[in-house]
Amino acid sequence: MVIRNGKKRGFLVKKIFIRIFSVLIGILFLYSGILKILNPVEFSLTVAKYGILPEKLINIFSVILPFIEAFSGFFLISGIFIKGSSLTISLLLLIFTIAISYVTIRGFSFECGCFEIIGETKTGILLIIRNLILLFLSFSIFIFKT
Amino acid sequence: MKRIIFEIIIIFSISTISGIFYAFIKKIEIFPYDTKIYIFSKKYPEIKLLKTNEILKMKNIIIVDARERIFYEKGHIKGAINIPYDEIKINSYDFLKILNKDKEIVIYCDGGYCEASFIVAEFLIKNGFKNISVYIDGYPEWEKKGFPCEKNIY
Repeated sequence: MVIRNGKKRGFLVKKIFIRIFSVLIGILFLYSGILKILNPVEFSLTVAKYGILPEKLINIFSVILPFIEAFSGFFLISGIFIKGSSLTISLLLLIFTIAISYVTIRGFSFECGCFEIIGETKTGILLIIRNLILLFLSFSIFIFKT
Repeated sequence: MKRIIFEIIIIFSISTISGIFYAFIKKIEIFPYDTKIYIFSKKYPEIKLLKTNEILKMKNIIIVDARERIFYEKGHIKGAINIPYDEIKINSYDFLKILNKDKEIVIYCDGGYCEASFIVAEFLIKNGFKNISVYIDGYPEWEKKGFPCEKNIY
């Protein structure tokens, strides 16, 4: 009985933590998405500076990606499609981390075009670490929910 | 698993439809003819953008290299003067003194999506210069095509 109660409490604590992280990451992505939606040219230029995408795809990518971020963030906050949105956010963070690592290895440093509200915004090691922490959190939400 | 795929498809579909609709409303070209020209002309509408063939036709112009001093010294377009984008705030008076306001000024940097030229162009426009253009292809393209270059002259 005691063990079952302990397990139940642990589960509840975990659930609360996951909910808090969901809301925090949701707010972060919703904010970041809206910021990019409001400044499409600025974001296109940032995407172009990474030098990863073919030129023809830069604008379509810059127009759709902010909406993916914003909707995933919104769903994570509202509690709808939590599995899908947390996995989408994890995938996005994985892609961003690879892209930032790629430019860092090539020796470039510029504004990353990512969440200005939390710390470092220039491409580099610090940004990679920050992204990995966010990736861990968002993937934890996905694992817990599945 | 099916549920997760369904949710992801929903998120991507809504985002794609919204993105394309937003681009339509905001008149953003999704597949522009020349992405580089398109992005820069949207961001810096007051600055004229030139390609290599247009530069070759021009006469009586001042060419400005906006790259950092070290890169200028390694090689630059023949006759170009160096106004490094990272020094314009420190040496603004000296830079403005060497330029002629009546002549057409063409600024370049590393090509690609480098913004150094635009930083210098905006600085000159703020200081009353009117005939400002940016050579969008930049030094790498000029050098690759075998047009006149020189080194270590300042």
